[in-house]
Amino acid sequence: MRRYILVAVLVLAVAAISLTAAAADTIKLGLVGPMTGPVAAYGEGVRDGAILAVEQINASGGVLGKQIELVILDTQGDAQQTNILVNRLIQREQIVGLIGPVITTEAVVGGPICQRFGVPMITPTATAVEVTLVGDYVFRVCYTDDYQSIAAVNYMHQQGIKKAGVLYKVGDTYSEGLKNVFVDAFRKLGGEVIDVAYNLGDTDFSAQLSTLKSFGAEGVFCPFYYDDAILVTRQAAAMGFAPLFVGPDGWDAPELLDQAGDAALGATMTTHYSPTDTRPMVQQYLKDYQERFGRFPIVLSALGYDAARLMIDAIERAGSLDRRAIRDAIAATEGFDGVTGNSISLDANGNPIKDVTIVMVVKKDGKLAFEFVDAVRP
Amino acid sequence: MRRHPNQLRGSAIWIAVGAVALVVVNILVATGSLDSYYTSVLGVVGINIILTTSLNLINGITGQLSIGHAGFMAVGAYTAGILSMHFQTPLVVNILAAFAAAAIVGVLIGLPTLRLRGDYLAIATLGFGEIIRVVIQNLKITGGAFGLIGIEWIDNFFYIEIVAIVSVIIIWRIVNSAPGRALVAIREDEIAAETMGINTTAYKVMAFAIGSAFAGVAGALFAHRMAFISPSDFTFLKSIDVLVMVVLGGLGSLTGAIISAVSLSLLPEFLRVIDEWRMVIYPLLLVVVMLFRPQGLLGTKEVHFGAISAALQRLKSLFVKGEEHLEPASDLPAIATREADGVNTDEPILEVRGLSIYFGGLKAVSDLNMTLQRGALHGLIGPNGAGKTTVFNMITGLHPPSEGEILFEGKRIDGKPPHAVTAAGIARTFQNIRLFKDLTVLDNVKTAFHLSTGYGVGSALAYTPSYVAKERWIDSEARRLLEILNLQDRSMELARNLPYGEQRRLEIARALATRPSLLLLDEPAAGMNPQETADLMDLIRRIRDEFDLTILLIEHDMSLVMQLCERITVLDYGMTIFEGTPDEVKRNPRVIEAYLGEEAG
Repeated sequence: MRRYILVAVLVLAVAAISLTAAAADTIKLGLVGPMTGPVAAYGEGVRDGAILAVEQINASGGVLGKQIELVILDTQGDAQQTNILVNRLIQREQIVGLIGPVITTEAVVGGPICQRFGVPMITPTATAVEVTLVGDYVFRVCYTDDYQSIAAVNYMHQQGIKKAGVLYKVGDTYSEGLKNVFVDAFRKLGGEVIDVAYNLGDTDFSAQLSTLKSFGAEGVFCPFYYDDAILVTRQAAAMGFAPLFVGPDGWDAPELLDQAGDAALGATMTTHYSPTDTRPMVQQYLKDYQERFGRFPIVLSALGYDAARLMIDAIERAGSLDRRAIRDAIAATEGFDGVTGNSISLDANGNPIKDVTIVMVVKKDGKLAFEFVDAVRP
Repeated sequence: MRRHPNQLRGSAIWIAVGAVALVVVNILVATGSLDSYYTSVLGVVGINIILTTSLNLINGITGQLSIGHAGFMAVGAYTAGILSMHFQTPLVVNILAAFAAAAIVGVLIGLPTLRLRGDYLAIATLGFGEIIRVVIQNLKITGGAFGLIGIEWIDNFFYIEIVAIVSVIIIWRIVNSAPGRALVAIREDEIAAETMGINTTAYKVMAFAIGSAFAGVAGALFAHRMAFISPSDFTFLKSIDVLVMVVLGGLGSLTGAIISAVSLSLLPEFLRVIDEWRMVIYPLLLVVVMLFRPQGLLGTKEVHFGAISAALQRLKSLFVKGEEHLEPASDLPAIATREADGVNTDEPILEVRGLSIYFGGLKAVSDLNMTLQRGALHGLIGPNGAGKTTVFNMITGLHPPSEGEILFEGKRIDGKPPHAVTAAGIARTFQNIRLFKDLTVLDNVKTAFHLSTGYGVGSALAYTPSYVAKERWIDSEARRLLEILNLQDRSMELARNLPYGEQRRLEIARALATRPSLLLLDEPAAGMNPQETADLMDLIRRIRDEFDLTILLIEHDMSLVMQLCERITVLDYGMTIFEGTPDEVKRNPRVIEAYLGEEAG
């Protein structure tokens, strides 16, 4: 029996500490995301980017004369936890704004709660269209999935491509969604386009590639992940088919460079941000991040950094801690420069209108690497 | 700590506690003392209570290790989600539909998998749970890997609490009724449960379906609370979470499951202050509990409010007179043999013709012929390994014979499952005692009244007068049987704590409770001292007369057999070497050579 009393006392003690944690005179921002669990790397990346932004602003005197406190909670990537934690941040921490959640399945749960209580929310990284449709308090700084298709179309158009093909995976929401937007947009610009399908688990793409080749595709849009991209680029190289391959952010993996080898040379992809972007802001961010955390940032850190900066910028512009005013300020964002794109503004659905970074596989010092080539405004 | 006849009190207390808690919580919410953070945590508590109590019905009460609960939760969640999105149906409809859908899937999966036991069943349920998730992940209507978004958002914990309380009450009522006793019997000893007339396959599937159905209800609540569901909400890890709560609370204890669901849902919130350390502390606490309480917090016991309920009962008796002394309804017959409608009492009660059984190449029993007249006391003797118990197993349906036929009261019973044989009127005891060891003596006997229950899950839930009267009748008849077997002072003991001789007597009491006309006793005197053996002989004669029984017994104690039995069949190596009266048996040279030896002369 004594054991249970001991456990009970411990639990109560812990509870007591949590209740007495005093609130200082700071502006509280919340951040939720998966800090543990299978996608912990995403959560930690976003968190560190946001921490960097908050610390930089605090060091230069904060906002509205106050320091910013970032309250970070771990969702473990779980929707139910997200529900509890967003409520906790709003009710217990009285946050004025939420940065996050990180992954889409969390964001669709967190969004409605923020909307209900009128707390502005900026998700750095949730790309599904549905996330921001819940209401006018929910925003994001990453572009939605389809936005990349438009960027790919514009990039190909810019490169003078008139005949394009799309290779896509049948039955895959991501792949088919991107394909449809690409086909429509490319036709609208007066181009000729053909779409060719493959099935989940296919490893031989020669028939599809032959179709694309005989169609005379100068550019091929490839809305699928890097694993298939490895096979496609290798098999195309083997049959002497060398169009401009444009992939989405799903291509962004070192495995593509390692396993596709020279076959991937010249292939491009759309992404959120590139460390090889030469803008001073990006290079400064990279330097600061590495000084602060002692490691190279992942792509999502840049989005966490921009989301936090945009939130704080909006508080400054609102000139008050009124959540409605902050929401209005976020919605009115115009020409906001971020490391993930210059001159960001937000559309009526809370989605950013921003540049899409294009990187290309190049050979540098005998090694393959993704190199920044352009930032396209779709 | 044990259940007493007055289960009404226990349930009433629980209903009262639930209602009071609900009222208090609602007042707190209404006054703004509990904000949406608290209600979101309470929502998780409510859903977890439904999940743990329903999984406990399968794992703890029925003893079937299922680890695919999240799959059924997913079925319910998606049923509710799809209905809400496409047909805008209200929450109540969606919950009921989720219940039905998960129950149907439960039956479909339960039928094939519940033939397996232990680890194999666990793996099969795990596999099916994953299959459900993968199917959902690949269907268009379920939104594929992304899931469903746009389900009506009902983030109102009030509904969750109501549904949780109703679910717990229903499961509680099932566990405390005759069907519940059947489920516990299956957990304790499946073969013994069959011979008590319990159709174990049907009951296992029923438990699985009901447990799954409530997981579906939890899923429906989850879907409406989150307004969004995706396959990743229902992974194997979710099943394990629920299983951990059930094991921690104690397999077989509903109150344990509830306490564990509440504390494990709240604990992570308390531990949040210590940040990442909670990932260490939480599992550490689980390990500590499991080290010190391997049976879980409450084991198979339940928390009872004995004192409170007694006080309430007294209070009630001031207003309601007489109910306390409700007598068994008079139209229920006192225990006796079943009425032998249309049975010709002159014809033999049991006729065994040319009965043989092979185990692989081994002929364990061959060409057995035996006829028992009504009211006979017949012995079956022979050296160890002669096939005596195998004969019992064939008669009671545990081993279908390879050849030959068995006629009971003129009807073929060979090939019928054990529970059907018991229903026909044959009861047995076991050589290696198969009591429900962790149940009380009284519950052992009450369980054996399964066939005369005569009410279903429905009346147990509705607490109909006929249900109450029947339960009282079963209780008083069980106590009467214990008196006949001189076990009345032991009624509240666990069967495992009885001395050997009393365990054998309890087996007889339990067999009689199935109201047989033929009783098979397998070495009833084994392990008894001479005094006990003498008492046993009296007892066997007494019950034969009192219950109008025919008795076939296997026994090695020759003095008992010779004094008691009117005819004896002698087996050796599966063959009948002699049949006759005790005197003839004693004189027969083949019997002496094979079995009795010198001294028996």
